[in-house]
Amino acid sequence: MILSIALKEFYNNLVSARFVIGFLLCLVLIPLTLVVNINDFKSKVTAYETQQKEAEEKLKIRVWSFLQPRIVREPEPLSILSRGVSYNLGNFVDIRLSEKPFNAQGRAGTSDNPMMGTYFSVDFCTILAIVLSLLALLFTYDTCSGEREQGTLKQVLANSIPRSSVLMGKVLGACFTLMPIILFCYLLCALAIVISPHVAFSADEWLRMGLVLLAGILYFAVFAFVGLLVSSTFSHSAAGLVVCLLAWAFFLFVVPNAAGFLAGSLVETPSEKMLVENTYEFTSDQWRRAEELRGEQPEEAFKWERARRTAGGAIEYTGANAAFMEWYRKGNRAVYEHMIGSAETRWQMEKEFLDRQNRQRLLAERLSMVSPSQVFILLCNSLCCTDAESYRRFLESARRYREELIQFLRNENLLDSYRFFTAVAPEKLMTTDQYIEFATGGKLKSMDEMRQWRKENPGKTWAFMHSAFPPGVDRESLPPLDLSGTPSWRGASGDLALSLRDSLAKLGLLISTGVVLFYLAFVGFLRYDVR
Amino acid sequence: MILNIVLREIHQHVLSLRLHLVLVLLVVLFGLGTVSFINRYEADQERYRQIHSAQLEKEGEWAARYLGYYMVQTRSQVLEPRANAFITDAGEKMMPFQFWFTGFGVEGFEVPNWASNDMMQAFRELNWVYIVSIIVGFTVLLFSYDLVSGDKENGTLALTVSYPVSRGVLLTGKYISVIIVAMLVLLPGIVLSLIILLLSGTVVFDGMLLAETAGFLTGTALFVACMAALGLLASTVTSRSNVSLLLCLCIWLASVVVVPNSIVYFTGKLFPIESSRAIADRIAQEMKASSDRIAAAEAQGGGVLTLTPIEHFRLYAKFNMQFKERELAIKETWNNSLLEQFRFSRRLTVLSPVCLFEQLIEAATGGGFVRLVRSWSDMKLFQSMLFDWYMELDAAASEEETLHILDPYNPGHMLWKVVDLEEIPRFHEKQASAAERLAAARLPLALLIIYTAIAFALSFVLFLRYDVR
Repeated sequence: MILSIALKEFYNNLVSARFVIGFLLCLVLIPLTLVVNINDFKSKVTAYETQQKEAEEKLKIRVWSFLQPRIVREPEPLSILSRGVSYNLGNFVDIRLSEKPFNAQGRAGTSDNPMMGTYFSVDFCTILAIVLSLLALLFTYDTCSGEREQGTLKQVLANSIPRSSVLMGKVLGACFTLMPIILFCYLLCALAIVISPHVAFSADEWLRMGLVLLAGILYFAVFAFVGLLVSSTFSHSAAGLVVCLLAWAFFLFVVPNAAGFLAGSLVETPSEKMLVENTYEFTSDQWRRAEELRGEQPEEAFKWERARRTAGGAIEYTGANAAFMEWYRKGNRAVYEHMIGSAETRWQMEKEFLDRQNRQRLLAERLSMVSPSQVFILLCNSLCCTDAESYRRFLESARRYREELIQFLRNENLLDSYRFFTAVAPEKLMTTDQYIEFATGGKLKSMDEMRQWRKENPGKTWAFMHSAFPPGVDRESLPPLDLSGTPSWRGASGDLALSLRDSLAKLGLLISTGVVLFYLAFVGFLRYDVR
Repeated sequence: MILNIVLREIHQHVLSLRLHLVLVLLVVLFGLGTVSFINRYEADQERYRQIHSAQLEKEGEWAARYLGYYMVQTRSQVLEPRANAFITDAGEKMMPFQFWFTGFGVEGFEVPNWASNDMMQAFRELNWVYIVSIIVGFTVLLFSYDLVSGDKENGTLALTVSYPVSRGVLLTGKYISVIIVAMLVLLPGIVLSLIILLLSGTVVFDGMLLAETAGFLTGTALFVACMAALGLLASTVTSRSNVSLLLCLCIWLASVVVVPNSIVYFTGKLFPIESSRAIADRIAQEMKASSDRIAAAEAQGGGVLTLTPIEHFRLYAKFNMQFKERELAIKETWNNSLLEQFRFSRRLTVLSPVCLFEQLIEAATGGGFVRLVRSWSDMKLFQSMLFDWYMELDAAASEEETLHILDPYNPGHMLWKVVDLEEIPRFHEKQASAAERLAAARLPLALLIIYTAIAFALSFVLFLRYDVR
């Protein structure tokens, strides 16, 4: 009997305008969204490849102090389904001794134009959230009230059929109607992924997409029960429809924005710009203090070439004499250990900021879970590893990798080695006297003669700057560093297991919401006045 | 007769459940949105003050050294949070309201991101424009989708038409009633919002703000008229109200979801610009070319050892200035292309009445893109004026104070005079004038009127031929 009712409902819905329009809506919205998101993913992949090349270039170094590996996060293919926050955040981190990885650099977003961020891009899961919920409501808002208005409900119930069976039949009928639409949406998505040359899913990703499909079915069920509850509460379908649609607009468009807006005003975060400036100044100040630990540069120490510098403060010298190099080598351990220590102090400031940001984010998420659509979207973000937790795991793995590198440099005694800052073999370095003879064109031949000349010419100096290198120190001819023994980054592991763990609570919330709504609808229908 | 029809329709709407629900929802949203806005505005003001005073402190240190040092430093100018942002934020969270400049030119702009949390999902602020464009727009469609088809299903349309009242008058009366009801439903929320703002004292209601509020209400009335006309059109296209509703939902989804969602993609395809990486590469090439020119000049001069210090400084200054000018030209072209691309993207949004309404109110409040264009232009004028002011001082300075050299990378070769920070010209943002706002409002205003006229005209024609039986 339940099946008969379900089939009757299914056939009635199949020939209705709302089924056709719903199908057409999906046919238009899903491909459009997929084209946009696949295109965005393609840009992400291009950006990733460029940064990977740069990461490889950064490993072509001659000295250990220049070892500032770049860790690039691979783009998540499932971001086509659910963008999450992956397009807000950067995707690479440069490991430096003087600071712990704070946030990822490089905008993983798709446009170089910052103003394009004023437009919202909607992904596959958001379209599903909008369309499935709307269709679920449109097919169930008049399940009871509509039949009551037509006068057929009392006729059905006049037969020897329990109300529970009628309700189950109607629920099943709605499922039969909407399942083809849901499956059609996912098949369209799967087809787009298979056809597209820019995306390739592994077994792990297909599995997660399957979980997203299950989440979609659960989500649709929740809204079907909302429609059923409204239908069994109101005696007029028009009133039920208005309530359903307003609830739909409220859950989908008001709650997510209100939650973010409220969280932003209840939990203040300090300005990131100020923090970045403060930490930059702190680190610059620490470098100055660290350099003081090196002691004064001796009179015999000369460098004649602009040193090569990195953004992380490391310096490679090739154009300096032996006295300068020895002085510099001896000071390096103290300088870099100081900077490693100061990185911990800097991290405390940054961690406090990140903790506040995280509190704000969590508050926004919890407030938004009033809406089943937000629960569904957050669940999809977790399953697709495009949520904030995946990003935090990436940064944590980068920090752990930095610790491994520091340990390696210490264990191998590299901090106070020559190769830490110069690739020139110590025995090939010019002595002070040789340098003075070369720099003055033979006019002076030793340090003693230089001292004498300075006494005789007070206030004057020789301009030692000239573009010709002393013989044998052409930088490009020096041997590259062998990095074969260096620890390498293994990536953030256990993503699927961890994302499933993060998803459990949201899954549980969707299921329990569905159960409660169904129970209320059930009770409402049992007491429904069918006259 | 039309008045009777309007009053009758209003009476029916006022008694309906949908109006009561929408009224409660709007009052709650306006209240919540305004209270949250006050918190955020105060926090944003505090953050702005911190950033501004930190910037002033830094500039004071630079100026205390000498003016040449001050001129070569790259400094930023951030625009202050707007007090009228409770009406619309106009997407300013993502607008590059932080300008970078030196005494030699304006380098570029970037998004300040002072209050953003990139780990959160992007959200829209609950300001008046958002509430009207999403909720009221949706509500107006809910009020109007069954104006004709609903009456037909009830059987009342045939009875009404049997009276000696023209179809045109009947339709117009229904249409006007929806607009009036929508505005009436909106008013309590706006009044509540204004009361909260007045009591909090956060915002000062001067003549400009009152004019902007009036502009908002006018724009809202036009937007409501447009959405009502679209709802009416959906209602006259079919004889079944549920089909009309579906059409209205499709229109609404197209305006709110489809059009804004596809803008970035189509803009990228139809108006591509050079990537920031390509720009950085070009600047790096210019830098290398400049270094090569310096080396060549040194070799020509017989080597550095033979030049006097002053000749040295002038040599470097000449090439540094050339490089700087080329760099600024590249950046200027890039910045202009960003602005043009965004301007183009806004033109693509004209298909959506919701986007047009947002642009209209943005123009009325002088915020968003209107503000950015105005301030960017003013910033370039200011920088030019600052440079001229410096050159006058440099020309009047003695030989002990200056070498009369302009070198953006060697401040020690510039004017050594110490000037008090308060005497140095500062940038002050000017509000967009009424003429500028009207110019920016022209297109969205015209299009909204055109859409409304076309939708209503089509409904009119269809209703004249509508089968009321």
